[in-house]
Amino acid sequence: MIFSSPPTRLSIKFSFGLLLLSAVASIKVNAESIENSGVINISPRSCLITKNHNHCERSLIISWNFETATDFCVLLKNGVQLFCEYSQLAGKREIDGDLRVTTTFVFQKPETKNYFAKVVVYVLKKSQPTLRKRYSHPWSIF
Amino acid sequence: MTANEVTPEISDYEVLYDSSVCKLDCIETGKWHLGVAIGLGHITTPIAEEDDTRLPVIPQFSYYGEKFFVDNFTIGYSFVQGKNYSLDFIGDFNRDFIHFHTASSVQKAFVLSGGFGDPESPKIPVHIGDYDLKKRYATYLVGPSFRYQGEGWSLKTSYKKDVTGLNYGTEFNFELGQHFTYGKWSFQHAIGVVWKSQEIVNYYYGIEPEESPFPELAYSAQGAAKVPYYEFNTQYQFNHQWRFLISIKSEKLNKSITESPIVNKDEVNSVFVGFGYDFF
Repeated sequence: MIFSSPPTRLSIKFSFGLLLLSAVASIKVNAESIENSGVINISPRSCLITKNHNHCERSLIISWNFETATDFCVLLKNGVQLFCEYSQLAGKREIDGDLRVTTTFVFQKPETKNYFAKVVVYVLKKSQPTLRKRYSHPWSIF
Repeated sequence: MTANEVTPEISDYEVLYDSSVCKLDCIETGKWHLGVAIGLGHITTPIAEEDDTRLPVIPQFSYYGEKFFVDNFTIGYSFVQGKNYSLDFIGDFNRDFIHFHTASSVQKAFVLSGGFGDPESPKIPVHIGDYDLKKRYATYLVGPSFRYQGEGWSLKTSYKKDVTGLNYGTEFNFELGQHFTYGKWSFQHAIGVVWKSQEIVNYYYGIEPEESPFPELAYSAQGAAKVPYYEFNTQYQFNHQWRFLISIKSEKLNKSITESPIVNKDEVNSVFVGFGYDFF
């Protein structure tokens, strides 16, 4: 779904029962690569998928704090663009969605398409029961 | 300030595990599963003067390891396992045993998943008319088996040989099944055929001269028997423990069996209606 309205909040909601590890990812932006510097946070940094579930269900908050006004877009590693922000000093966004595996979010300058930061959100799985095909149909009496 | 936003879809993320691909025919490995079926069970017998078998309680148990498995009294080892197929070496009981009243009700309940006679016990004659039959024991057969599971259908075949030394016979089984679920209901039905070697037919349905009042009334099958069958199973799952069950099976006996003097029917019909309970 593509929006072209002023960004309010975009959220990725982790839609699975979970135990969330509320770590915060915080990275310092490389000043040389984008001509300014700042800090980008994603919270939580990881979540744990519990038994009988196969993905996380949790909002993810992306926040930033730059020293100078900055344009940037946030994408998944596979190239899917989540949102863009322009002339930003500080702010945050909440995104909803399903995370089943460890996912990398990358930050891109919209003008040059250069990546200047990436943050990994780790999806951890409690050991899942191993299933296999059974020899007989269950409860086939005869 | 403008933004182009995309709400991520599931497909945007890599999917490593999805339990929905493995439903009714899958089982959790590394643990024992124990259950019991309670209800009205009835198996007709083709043997003259033998009573039909009534089974109100039928135990169910299984254990599946990575390759080894026990599914009731079927014991197997899966040499090759693909996403849709499996090549196994299995052992299972021959089920003709349950038609003879030398088997107790408990043995008959287990013979649906096995069943034992005691080879060391004295051979007490069974009187059918003027025949004094020796005990017919359960035999255990082992051999290779191949399974293939398509979308909603399955194929199963096996070739097994008696290893108890009672008759050294062989059985070949071919079965084609179909299954589907509808809400809490699941349905499965299958057609198949069991080819029983002459040795097996003679062991259970043959009459030795010393079992017969007159030597000329002895019976020896002249060939193997092909027994086609149809089975239907349905269940309604109330919760994790309880389910409602209906199981039906009909087998058609061919003349190698029906020409035996102790056989007076050419079919075996089995039905069970009741409830299943999973202890764990």
